[in-house]
Amino acid sequence: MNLLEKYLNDATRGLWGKRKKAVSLELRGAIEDKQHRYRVAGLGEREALERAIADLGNARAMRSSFFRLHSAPLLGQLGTLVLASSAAVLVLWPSSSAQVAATQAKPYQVDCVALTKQSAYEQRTPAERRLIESLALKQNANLDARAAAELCDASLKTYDYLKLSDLESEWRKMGASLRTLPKGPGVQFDGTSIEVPVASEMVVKGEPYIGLYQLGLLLNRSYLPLKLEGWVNPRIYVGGRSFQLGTPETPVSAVSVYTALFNGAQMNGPVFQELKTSLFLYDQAVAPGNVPQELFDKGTPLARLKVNAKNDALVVFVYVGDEKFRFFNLLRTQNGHVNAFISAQDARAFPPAATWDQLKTGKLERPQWLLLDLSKTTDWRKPKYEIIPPSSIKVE
Amino acid sequence: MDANLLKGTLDLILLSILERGEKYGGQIIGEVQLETGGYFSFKEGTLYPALHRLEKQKLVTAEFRQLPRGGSPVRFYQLTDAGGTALEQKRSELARFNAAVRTLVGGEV
Repeated sequence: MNLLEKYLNDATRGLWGKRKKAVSLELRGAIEDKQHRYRVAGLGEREALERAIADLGNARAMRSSFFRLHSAPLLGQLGTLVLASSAAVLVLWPSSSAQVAATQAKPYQVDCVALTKQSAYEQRTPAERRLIESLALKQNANLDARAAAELCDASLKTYDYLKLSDLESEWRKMGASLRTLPKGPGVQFDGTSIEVPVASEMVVKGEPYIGLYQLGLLLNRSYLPLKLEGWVNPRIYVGGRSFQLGTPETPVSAVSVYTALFNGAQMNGPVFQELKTSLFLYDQAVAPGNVPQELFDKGTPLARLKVNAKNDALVVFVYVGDEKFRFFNLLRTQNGHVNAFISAQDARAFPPAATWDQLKTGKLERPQWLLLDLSKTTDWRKPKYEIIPPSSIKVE
Repeated sequence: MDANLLKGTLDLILLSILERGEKYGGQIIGEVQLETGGYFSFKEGTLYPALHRLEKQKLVTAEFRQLPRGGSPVRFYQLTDAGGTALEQKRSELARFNAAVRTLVGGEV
């Protein structure tokens, strides 16, 4: 019996019939969801599974809760009383108690989205070339491995976790004051008295790391104008001061930082009103490299879109299938193209929407999608957007 | 924050999150963390039994749906009308509780 099956067995022991099956399926879905996220963060399959299972917590405690609820009706009907009396099961804690133990910050993404220079491929190690080739072949199956790999954007092997001590050092250089808060290290920008707890999410060789999304949260909370410069190892300007993310050995993609910013809850501006208030897309910004890998596995070719937008611009691809299947991705235009996370077949069958209202009419059988051009943004806390007209988009 | 202080707020938090629309477990956890700046953090071992309890009380309904990435389906939870009413009651209770504590200890609560 493998690890997952053993856990599911342990967690649902004492339940019967349909109920057991349903609880088991729900936990399986939750574990696979977590496992997928850890895989995206760079962990191997086994390690990601172990981490996902650890996140769910002790199987016996879970079993005890479910048993009390579903197999002991009297107790189950006590409702809130059960909650109040089961403090041992209730696990609510401030984020300083880091949930994720040691893991490597690994590259999670080799994005075969756009054309790039051949020299970038030449600079790769043999192992990286093999990885790029295997991924590239899935997208360009009609080419040989080498030719397919040369179509990949080799600059996008990026890292998603940042060493906290390095960040603190950079913040000190830019004059931000640092102090330890009860909930974790905190940072103040330019004396604006914004204290942001930053919880370390993983520890590698004794060094705490934080996820990019936490950086996004922090930058959003600084309430200072925010600019990014560059696509790999971007320089981040906060209120006129700046620091740089990433190193040559552990590069950080600006697209990942933008994605983290878009997932922050404190962003302002009309694009967020539409994405979050109107479409309820709170945490659906998927970094490039995540979704396509799944689509690759299914053998679905992605749509390559020729876009009449500024080169090297950041665009947002928004997809509305139905109430459940909707998401947005941040993409970088290169050579006038982006690869959107929609199948080429669907992109041809269902032309892009021209308005938000049209987008909202998306159904599973007739999905709606559109592209937003963000190139006029000057402060990323308040992004400016324009809907790219359907006439400026061509499916190739 | 003292975890004991938070006992009993779990329902309020979950119902509030679901008031905005259907969510599955992973989304609920992510949203709570984001919106509270990481102040609240749930473990799944807490979340799922709590959601099942709310379902049993008919405050939420749930159904399995497939995510775009494929794999096993996840269970989306949705607030019922009764859940909406319960949420309003819990909000009022919290407001009354806060007012009472403020009266006793002074300052902002």
